[in-house]
Amino acid sequence: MKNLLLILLTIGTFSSCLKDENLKQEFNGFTPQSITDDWQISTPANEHVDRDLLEKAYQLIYQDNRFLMARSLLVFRNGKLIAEAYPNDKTDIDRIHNIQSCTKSITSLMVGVAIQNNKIDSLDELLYSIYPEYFDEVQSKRTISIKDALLMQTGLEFDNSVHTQQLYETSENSIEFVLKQPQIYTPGTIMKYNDGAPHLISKVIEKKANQTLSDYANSKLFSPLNITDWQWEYSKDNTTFGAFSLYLKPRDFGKIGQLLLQNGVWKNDTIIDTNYLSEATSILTSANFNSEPYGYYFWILPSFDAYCALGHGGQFLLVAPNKNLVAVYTAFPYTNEQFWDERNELMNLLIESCK
Amino acid sequence: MGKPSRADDFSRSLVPFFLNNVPKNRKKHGFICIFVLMSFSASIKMKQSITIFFLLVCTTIMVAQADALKKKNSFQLSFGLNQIKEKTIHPKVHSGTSLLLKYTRKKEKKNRSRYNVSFLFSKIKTKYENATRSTNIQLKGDYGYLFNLKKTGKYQFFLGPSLSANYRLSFYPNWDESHLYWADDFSLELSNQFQYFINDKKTLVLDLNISAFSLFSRPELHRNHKIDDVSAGGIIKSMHSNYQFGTVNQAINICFQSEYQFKISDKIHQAIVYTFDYSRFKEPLPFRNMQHNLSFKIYF
Repeated sequence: MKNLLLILLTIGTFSSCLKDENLKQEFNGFTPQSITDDWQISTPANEHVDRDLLEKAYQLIYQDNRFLMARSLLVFRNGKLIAEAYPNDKTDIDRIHNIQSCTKSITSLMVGVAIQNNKIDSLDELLYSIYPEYFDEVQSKRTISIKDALLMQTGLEFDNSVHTQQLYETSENSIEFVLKQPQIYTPGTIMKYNDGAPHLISKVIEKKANQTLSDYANSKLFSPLNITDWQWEYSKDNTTFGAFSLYLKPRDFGKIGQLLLQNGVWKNDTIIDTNYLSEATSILTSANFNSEPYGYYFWILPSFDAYCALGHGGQFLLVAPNKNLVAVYTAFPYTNEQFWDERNELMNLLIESCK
Repeated sequence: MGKPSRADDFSRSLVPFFLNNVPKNRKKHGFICIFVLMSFSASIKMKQSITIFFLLVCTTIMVAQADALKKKNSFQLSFGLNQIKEKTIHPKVHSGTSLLLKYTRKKEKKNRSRYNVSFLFSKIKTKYENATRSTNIQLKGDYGYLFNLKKTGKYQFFLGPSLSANYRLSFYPNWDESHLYWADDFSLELSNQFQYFINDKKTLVLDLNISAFSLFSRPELHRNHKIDDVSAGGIIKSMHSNYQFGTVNQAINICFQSEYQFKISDKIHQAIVYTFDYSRFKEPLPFRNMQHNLSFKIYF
């Protein structure tokens, strides 16, 4: 008997291994949770949304490996929250989350806020005229305008795969770091998607508003929308990162989508300059790497008659004005691209669900 | 060989010191070392000669002293299976082969004191990944003082406390391009060792260590910063942050080792070793690590 126990123990030890567990919680529908916030809750039926198509969208993020690292999917229609689910952890409802490059779109909105508050007169203003102290001797860099930076057409050779981490870690002046990159194109000619240009815009807003981008956003955007829980990272010289690392709760991210849907007006106050917003969310250029249409840090989706903010991990804020629809999708923000999918199938289901 | 260098002179001046301080049974090896050294000393720089000579003399003296104090060293090379479940990212298992190097030093009179230092390197992946990109590195050290509770002609049994420091650092670039993940602990463990003498040349040794109390460090569950400080100082600082105290309920290390020692001759003493290592940190910072290692061990 003792020998048998010993043999079993030995076999058990030799053969033991760790077991996989489910990545996501069990799907229990998408009825929004009742919590005390500004969102009015409704149902798909009341807002004329096809429940079956909506369910397909949620099944996709719960069960399809292309959405392996999904954290939340929220759908708003007619200014009401109609569907919500948190596949990874239900407590994500109350947790701020890095929206990564969706941050660029918020930076763009802050330009519209600055225009609305008479801090910026013209997008043709040159960066050199705003902060000449950060420029080197290369003359062509001095012709970069606010508009060029908003269109990712600075012509600077800022390579995200190399320079983003360096921007994060540099102890030198972060604006000088961006501006010292070689000029490879004439400003205003070729779009090159990068994290450097939004950082230049962050400093523009800081100089114009006399406060950091994050402080200005807090007073002019987050506070009016009653967004109290947020975080925005900054470089070592205290310049808010214009390109990434804004943290918001999914429902608060939805508020920004709703503000866009309302043309920058919130409770009868115009927060974002309407003309700027209209221009920012229209086709102004196309991306260098996938030829998709681009506005001022917004991706334009002509096939959906919509536009969106996109961030690492496949995250998005989708705004479809003609459908009166806003959708927020967040995912684990640091995942390699092999674990996130083209968002089109999910977006298509959401838009198609609107009758 | 050309004109004798200053290194030769220095080496020769240390020879009498060596002859007077090293026991007779070690002198033969020492002479060989000195011969080899002096043969090469003309062709290498003086500083290098001095360094090599100093190291050889020290090593020889230390080995001689070790005999007197019944010290025993061993070096172990292991290959094995390493599995990690880093639940702060996702609860899927990363598996891969590992290479482990371990040095052990034992001192024994009536009781036994033991030092271990080990280093493990492993490349791991989940079934979701096509290519193996994740890396796990572990550095461990422990000291144990084991009391000889029972000794007969056939077996010996030791039991006692030990202190261990375990550093486990992982990088999962497919799952998180921006952060390092660590699971470190300082633990007070209960160690025991059962030694069964099969015959004069063969011994079976069973070791079991179980942690009782641990001070453990894990990354925060929700890391609200885009990129870790990946400078050496930043990594060291991170790996000693966010400490928590835990008993076996929160943090546990279990290590079981079975060792088959055999002597080919009086001078050549070696062993084949199987090691099972399991570590678990529970919620809210869940982590699991399981290792199966097969080793070849040399005593010297």
